[in-house]
Amino acid sequence: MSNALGYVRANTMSRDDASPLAMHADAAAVQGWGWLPALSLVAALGVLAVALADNSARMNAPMAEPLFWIGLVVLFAPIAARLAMPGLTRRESIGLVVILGLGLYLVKVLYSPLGFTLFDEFLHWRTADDIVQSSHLFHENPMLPVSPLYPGLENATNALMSLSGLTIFQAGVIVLGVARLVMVLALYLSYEEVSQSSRVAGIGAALYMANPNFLFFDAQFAYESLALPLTLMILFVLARWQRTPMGRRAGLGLIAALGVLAVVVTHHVTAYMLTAILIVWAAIGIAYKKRQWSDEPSLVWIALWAIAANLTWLLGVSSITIGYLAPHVSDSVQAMLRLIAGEDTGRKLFQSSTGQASLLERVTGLASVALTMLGLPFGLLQWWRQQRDNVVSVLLVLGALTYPATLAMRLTDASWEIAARSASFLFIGVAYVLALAVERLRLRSGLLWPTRLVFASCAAVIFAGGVIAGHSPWSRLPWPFAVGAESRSIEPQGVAAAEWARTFLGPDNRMAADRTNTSLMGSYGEQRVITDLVDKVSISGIFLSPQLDNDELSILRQARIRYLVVDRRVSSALPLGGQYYEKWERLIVPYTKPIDLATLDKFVRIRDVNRVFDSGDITIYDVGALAREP
Amino acid sequence: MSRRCVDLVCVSALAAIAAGLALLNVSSVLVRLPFALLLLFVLPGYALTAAILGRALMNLERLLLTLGLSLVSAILSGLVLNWSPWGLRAETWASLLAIITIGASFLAFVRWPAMAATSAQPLARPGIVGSLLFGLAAVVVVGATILASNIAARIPSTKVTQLWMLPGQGPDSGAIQVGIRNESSTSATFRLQIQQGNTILDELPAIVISAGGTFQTLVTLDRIQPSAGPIEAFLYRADAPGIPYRHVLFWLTPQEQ
Repeated sequence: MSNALGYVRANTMSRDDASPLAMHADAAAVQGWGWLPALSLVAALGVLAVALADNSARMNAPMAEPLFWIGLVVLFAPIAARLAMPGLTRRESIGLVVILGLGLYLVKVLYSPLGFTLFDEFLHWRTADDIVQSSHLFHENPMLPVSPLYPGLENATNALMSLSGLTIFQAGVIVLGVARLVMVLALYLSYEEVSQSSRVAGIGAALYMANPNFLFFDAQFAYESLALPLTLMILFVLARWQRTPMGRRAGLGLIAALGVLAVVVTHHVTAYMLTAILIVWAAIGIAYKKRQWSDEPSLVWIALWAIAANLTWLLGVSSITIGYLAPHVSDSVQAMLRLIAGEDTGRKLFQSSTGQASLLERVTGLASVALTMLGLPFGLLQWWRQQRDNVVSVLLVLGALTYPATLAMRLTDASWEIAARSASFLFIGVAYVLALAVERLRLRSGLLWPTRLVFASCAAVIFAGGVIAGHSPWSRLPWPFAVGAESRSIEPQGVAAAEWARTFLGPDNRMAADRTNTSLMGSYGEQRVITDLVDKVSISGIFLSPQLDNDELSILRQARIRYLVVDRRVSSALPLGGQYYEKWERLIVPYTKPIDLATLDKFVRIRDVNRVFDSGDITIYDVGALAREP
Repeated sequence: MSRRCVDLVCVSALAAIAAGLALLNVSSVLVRLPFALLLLFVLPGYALTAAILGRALMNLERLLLTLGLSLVSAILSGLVLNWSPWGLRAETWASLLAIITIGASFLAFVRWPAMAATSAQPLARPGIVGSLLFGLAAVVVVGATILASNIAARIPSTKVTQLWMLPGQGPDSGAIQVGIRNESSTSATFRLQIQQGNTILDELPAIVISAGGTFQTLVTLDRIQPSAGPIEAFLYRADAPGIPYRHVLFWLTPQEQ
């Protein structure tokens, strides 16, 4: 019986054959397990090393950092090397890619195995919690107002929580684990569909995992982590749709259309990127058809469907998204223009609040980019020779060619974030072209063992460079508490204070705090935290000014703040993450030394301000009397 | 019953059982979890894939579409449930996902009555050594997870003791509530002193609070001088009796006076 997906895939195996993209039927080669069992154990040992590194970091042991890197290299390099070797079966290739993808997901899980600690995760935790409390969607989330308007991740999490009785954290970890599995399968199948080679698919999928967002950002409890796997699934389905005979396309088209709807309601940026990809894909298809380079059917219908779905959702439900995203884009463009005009000195690479990264990290980071840039021309040459009549591959090549432009965007503070976030999408193309480069190398040299060793080393460097670019050294491991240090500032005292607030003050009190306690009070505490994003006020002055003057009182009144959370540890160090309260607070207090403790304790001397809670480092003040108009 | 639709019958039956467990409100997570995982991540996607594309798929494509379409079903079902009067609850999730699964299974059977679930690639076993290595890998990963979780749970950054002072609620509205919570892993002894200015209103010399335990007391307002400043509570640890360990204060407003 035939169907849309039913053409025989038993022979989609490319071995060390003369033509890399040709397929050979070899049942034994297709079905064998090869090195998969042994490499599963090696990968597991890599995960164990990372777990030990996390534990060492929790105890502030210096061996944590080397153990972490050993674990990652043990996890990544042997699998990458094996993927480039001859005699690899399709099953083995798929198995290795799945093990690598899930192994790297475990690295993130082991980082915080008992609860969410990454900043974005608290934003979505609040949305998920609001759904649990109310049984309905679209509640206001003061920490990230657009989050409730894209409830895909929270829907799936809520379903698992409701059906199983798990907590938000437990359900979220499982949902994202399944999403990660979808991601690696879709990635592999997409590459295989385009290249018709399981080797290119395997190498491409492994190299995609070297993108800076793969290890942590796209594994965290946030909307992109679910939307991206679904996007890759859609790309695979559409690639297959184009090659399926006319009468059997409807089913695949329906799956793609449903997938687009799911992405549109899950994450704004991913939905827009998907739409852009579909538009470009359709345009390439039309151009190729006009020149009679290709007879593949047009994807205009799905591009129009994606545009319609996005517009409907944007205008009907999530119109505030424009106001949320527009400043990021305009700031980025302006910064780039200033840099080009020489008005901006630009951003220092490998520089964080703790100083410059180590020489080894800088060299690895630069080598990673250099190797990527070096590999692209070889991959492009291979593409030109073998695949330039393939519409989907043109799309991937365009993605790869965009990558160098994003490197320039990393040179300014304002455009850095867009460049960093775009890596998740552009690396789909970059990894594919690099995999073609490896294939070209194999054709020319036969990929003998020294070449394989070189490839494995280069792949490991590219991967390590991605990890370095994705996370600052101080935040890659769960080191002990540090001030203003995102996940490292999340610890039991803050969580306990937030839970106390929920229990004894009740939910939804208007509350202002530093960045860390805003996350905790807004999530575990279920408080109505005050943010610039929603309330359009700056709270830094309330905490950082030595006196509570008219300006600060006016902010208290304007934002109708009832409680202030003061974390006295803020006075013990400069913030590792670059801010205590808000990013513009440096305008109020130059960061030459930590804030004076007396400045933080000023509230205790003010009449009618009640100090209602004290847990040593964290105090909560009731400033309701001050916030009322005189 | 035709042998050709046995997979669809199984899928529908599992969906019905999973929905039944949710509707009966079975409390055990261990019982509910396997069925919840199936109902959320496998059954709707499998049935929808079968209904849309038939069942003669390759293993990998089937796996991808089963998981992917299950996630799509959950995401879009959440919107449907939100617009229903009942909202997103265990019963409504179970009912809707089971309806999708059973409906799609029925459609699959109607659309492709002669098609059995087949796989072009029969699964070969990895052999004894291979199985052993896979098993060992699983043990190592589970061990690593347990290890990381245990250590993460055992390293609190500080021994937290909370002291608070809030206006009494309900029947206690004429008083002030003072509370202590010991968040550390061992029991602790404290002295609590409540005063206004230099006047000591109340003193509790030895409060023993077990690990994770809470102590609460009420301060009545009859002995309080409205003009004598705030009411303050000082908490002292038994091992450092002269140094205030925690401190809270409360100003009386005209209503509370």
